[in-house]
Amino acid sequence: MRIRDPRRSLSTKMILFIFLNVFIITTIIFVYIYKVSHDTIYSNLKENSRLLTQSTVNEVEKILTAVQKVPDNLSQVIETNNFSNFELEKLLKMAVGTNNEIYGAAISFEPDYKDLANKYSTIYVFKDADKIKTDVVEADDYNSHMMDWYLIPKELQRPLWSEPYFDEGLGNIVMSTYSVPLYKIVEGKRKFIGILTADLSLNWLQQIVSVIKVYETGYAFMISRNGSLVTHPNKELIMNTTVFSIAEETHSPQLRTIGRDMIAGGSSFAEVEYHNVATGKLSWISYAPVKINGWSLGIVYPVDELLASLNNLFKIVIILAVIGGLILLIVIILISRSITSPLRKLAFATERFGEGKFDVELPKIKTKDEIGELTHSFLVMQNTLKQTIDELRKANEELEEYSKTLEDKVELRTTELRNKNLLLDRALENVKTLSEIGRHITSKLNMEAILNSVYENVNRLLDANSFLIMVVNEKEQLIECKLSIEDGRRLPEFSFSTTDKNRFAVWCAENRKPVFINDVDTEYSKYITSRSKPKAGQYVSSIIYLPLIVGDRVIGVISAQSFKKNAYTEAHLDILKNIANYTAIALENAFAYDRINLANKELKEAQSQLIQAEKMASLGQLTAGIAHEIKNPLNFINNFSELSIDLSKELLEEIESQSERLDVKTVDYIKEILTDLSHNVRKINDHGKRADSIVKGMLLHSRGKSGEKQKTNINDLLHEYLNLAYHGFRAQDSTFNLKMETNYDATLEPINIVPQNISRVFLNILNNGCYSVNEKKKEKKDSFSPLLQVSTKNLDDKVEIRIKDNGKGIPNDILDKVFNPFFTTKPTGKGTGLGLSLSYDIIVQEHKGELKVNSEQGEFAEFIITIPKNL
Amino acid sequence: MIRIMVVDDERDVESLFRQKFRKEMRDGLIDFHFKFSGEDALEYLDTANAADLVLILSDINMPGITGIELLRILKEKYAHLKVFMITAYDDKEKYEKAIQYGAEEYFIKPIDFEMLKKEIFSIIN
Repeated sequence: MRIRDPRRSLSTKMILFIFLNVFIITTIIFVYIYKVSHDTIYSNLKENSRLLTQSTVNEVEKILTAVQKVPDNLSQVIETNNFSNFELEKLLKMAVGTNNEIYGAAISFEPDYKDLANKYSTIYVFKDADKIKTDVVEADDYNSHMMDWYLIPKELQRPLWSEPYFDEGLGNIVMSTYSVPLYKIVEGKRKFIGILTADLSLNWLQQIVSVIKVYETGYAFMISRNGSLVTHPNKELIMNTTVFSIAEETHSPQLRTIGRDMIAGGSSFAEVEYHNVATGKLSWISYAPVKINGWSLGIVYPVDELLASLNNLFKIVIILAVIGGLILLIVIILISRSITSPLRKLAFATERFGEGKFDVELPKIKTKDEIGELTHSFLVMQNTLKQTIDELRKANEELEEYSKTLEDKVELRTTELRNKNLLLDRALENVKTLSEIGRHITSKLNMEAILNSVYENVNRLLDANSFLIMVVNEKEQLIECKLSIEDGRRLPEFSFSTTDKNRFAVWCAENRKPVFINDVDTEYSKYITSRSKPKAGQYVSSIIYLPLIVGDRVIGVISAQSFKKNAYTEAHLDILKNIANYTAIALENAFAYDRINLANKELKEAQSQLIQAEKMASLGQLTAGIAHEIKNPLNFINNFSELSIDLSKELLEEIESQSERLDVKTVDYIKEILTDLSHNVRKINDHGKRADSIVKGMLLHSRGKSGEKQKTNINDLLHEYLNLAYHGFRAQDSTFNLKMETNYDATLEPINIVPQNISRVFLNILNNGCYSVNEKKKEKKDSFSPLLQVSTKNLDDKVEIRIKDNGKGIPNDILDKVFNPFFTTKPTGKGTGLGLSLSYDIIVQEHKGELKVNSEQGEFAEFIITIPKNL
Repeated sequence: MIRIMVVDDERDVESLFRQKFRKEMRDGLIDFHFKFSGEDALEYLDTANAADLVLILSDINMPGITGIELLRILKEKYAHLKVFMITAYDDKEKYEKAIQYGAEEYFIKPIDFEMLKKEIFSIIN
């Protein structure tokens, strides 16, 4: 049995899944509740603290207002009436006596206030034990006018509460004095006359404030306008310290900030946090100003105590959650166990079952749920399987018996198959040979090599007295036998027309079908009407002809022949068919190869023509440029030499006329020199003219392009210039003669050319022809009859003109130079070397035609001009 | 006496003309004045000496003002002057231009002096 990985067990997965989900949901709920409770408690607290602070401040203000009323009312009474000292004292005593909070009251006049003629400047009434006593200060005796309680209200012109102070005389009671300035209307003006004061004991304040208790350690305190502590639970601090000095001592910037805001009259409710100086606890502080005297009340709330109830609540919740979670976990485990335990038992049984123990006992599960059903189904399956296996066992025994008899039969059939295999191997061998032959044949590109290769291979596979390969020549309508072998001898090539219907090869090529005869004498009539004599070799009896087909073209015929009758079977036909296929491909390749070679050759020719044309064009420009530059100086040479000829002639005449004055010897000497001079100048003139004619020839290159094209009859033009050349030559040399043959194509319509330029070409070439035959005539004398042939031919889109002479011809090594400018074979002075170069320009550049030359040295030279018709 | 001005940037032209027309000059029939650029020629034409000039022979290819340009100016400003163009260029385009601007004759170098003499005398008559 396999060891189950507890992490993978179904129950673990269930437990984990349910428990995790419940945990996450519960956590979310708890966090939410805690947040809401916290916010509610906080806002309640804030409201409470505001109420507490405000009500305390209100109470303080109520008392202070009540106290204030006494001096306020009294001051109005004094201002509106004139009282004597005695009356004033009575008033003060009444005020002190009727107000518990007021400890003493005083009135103090300005030193210059003389209206009452008082002898006292200050009257002071105060409580002493149960009695009310009076203290007076004589005028000029007591300088109360310099005291704060006097000066400040006087300057401010309004009533004022003093800062708290200890009254030492009364045993450290904290006091504060309320001072009211007194005015009187004197001579229509409101004039300050003195100050009325009421001293207030602050014991009651201490009681009001110290009553406030917040939780365990919270407390309230009050500070005066300058930050002095007026009340505080710690009595030692009262009047001795200010909030700022505490802040400095304890390095608490929080307290300093709070103190500043408090004395500035600010208020805040449980929003400002600070660490309690005494306990170090985080606290919130609420404060509000006592507006009447500018003091401020502060209440300190320890945060941990505030939130203690909330934290308790949270703790209880956590504990409940943990207990609930544990209970949940236990329940889940129990449920999942109850589900997976029968499953595990079933799985164990199934495993045993799978090992082949079909009688394994299944767990007894009585529940009606899915697991119960599964167990029941399994039980049914177990029983069915047991039965089936028993049946199988029986069938197997029967089968074993039967197989024993079968073995004998199989052995017999195997022997038969082995024999057939041997035959197949042999056939395969033939196929291999054939494919090898195919590869061998098709790898050749040369026709002769292909033919030999085919023959060699046919010999290996097929008995043939005679073997033929023929090629169809569609152009000439011929079937050409390229290979003909009889009994190992190669017979000469032969051919016959494709119209010769009594040839098996013609039938075969035409019908694209094999000719297969095993007795020619009796069966020939299936294909041909009468037997022709073989072109080579003897008559044969058995023949196979097969067409060589590439794509849809018959390119030839292959044939094997035998002198014996019935020499060939269908198998031979098949073999030859294969060879025919390869041969056809190989021959087609060879043809294609030839075509490519031809195209390549033509391409190279075209390329060299192009190069030649480019060379000519640039040379033409160059020569034109040079010619122009040379022409000017040349003109001077010619002009001045001509002049010099005339001058030397004149000089000679002059000497002649003056000869009697000179001695004979001198005259002869001068004449001799003059004759030489004249001769030299004439030479200069001759050579100058020669150079001039070269330059003129050169200039013709550039001028050739400027002609206008017009419809011209080529035949007429050619004939005209043929005559001109002939007569021109005869004019130079009367012994010159030659035979002229003309062959003009009458279908030639006039074509667009520049007639003066084309005629120049004709004249150049014709002149050269005349010159060449004349030179040859000089060498060969009578044994040579000069001939000049000219012909025209109308090709589809162009005209071809041929001019051929049977003169000296052009040597092969200079054949490609004849069109170069300045190239000439004529002796110096006879030719400029520009005639053919110019002609080339005219034909190729101007007329977009071609100028070619064919020649054999000593035999002939032929110039072929082609001009396109559409120019 | 015919006064002729020859304009050509080739200075040897002077020597050539003086020799070719030696006889006519000696006989007082013709007097030649030579200038070697179009600019010089135009400058001279503005002086009093130029008053009795009858004919101008001008080359075409010259640095600065070309012969064709000179011809155009001459025919515009000095309509009474006859002008023969003499050039080494047997060029259809230049020939047509010269005729268009009113040149009386157009000679191609090398100059046929016999012909030139004939034309000069025919102008006078």
